[in-house]
Amino acid sequence: MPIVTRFFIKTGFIWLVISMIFYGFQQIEPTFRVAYHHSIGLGWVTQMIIGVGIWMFPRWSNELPKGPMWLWWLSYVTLNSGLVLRLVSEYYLVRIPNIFSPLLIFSGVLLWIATMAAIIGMWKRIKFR
Amino acid sequence: MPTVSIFFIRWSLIQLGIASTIGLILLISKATGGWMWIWNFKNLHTEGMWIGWIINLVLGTAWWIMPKRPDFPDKYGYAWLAWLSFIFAQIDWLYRFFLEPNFAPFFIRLTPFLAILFFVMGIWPRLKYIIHQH
Repeated sequence: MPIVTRFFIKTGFIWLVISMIFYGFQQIEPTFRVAYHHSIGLGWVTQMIIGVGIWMFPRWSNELPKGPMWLWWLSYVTLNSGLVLRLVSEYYLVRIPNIFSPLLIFSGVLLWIATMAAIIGMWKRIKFR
Repeated sequence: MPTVSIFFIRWSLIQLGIASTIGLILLISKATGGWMWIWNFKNLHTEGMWIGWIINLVLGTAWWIMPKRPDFPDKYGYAWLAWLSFIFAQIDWLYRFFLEPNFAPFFIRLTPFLAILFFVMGIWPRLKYIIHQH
């Protein structure tokens, strides 16, 4: 199993645990509902899909069977940093808008980069023969 | 990889791209208070992620990776059921993307259910085979 896959899957499990905390507390704090959906949808499910996809999907090429590793690491780092930043920024957006408005936008950019990197990495591996 | 799986997975990647882009614009709108028009497409973001990205990818991968039936003419089973599943899985999202983002008639809203039903009908014989082997 590639190292980056292990990182994706282990981090995915951590997000699963975190998402269940948000699930439990969403009645107390309404912003936790959005946090729950994003931590389970992006943090858990999407990371599991990407991690296992890196490992199991048809090869990118003979020279790079799993594809360019830097692309996967970029996806991993931006996905997780973007998600953390997004959850923190969303919570503090109303309280300290001057600081957390640009941070919320930056988190969205990070998440977008993460998904684009994953799309580029996977697209070439899903091919007609 | 069977052709229907390629369609499922590649379309799921396109859906991920669209849903992520809508999500980015939603966050910009939330942070700045501008671009309020994007909130009309919030449902496309949500359902694009859950059904468009996740379910399409899972179905496509499952059709490819689940045990094969070497005793069938097509080892993947009844591919027409998988194709029906693919078509029905996209109808609701496409209707709301091109026509009305916030409302779809009830029979349109039922199409994802039919998609899953067709898929289960197609994949079931392949799972039963494994149980009998052991």
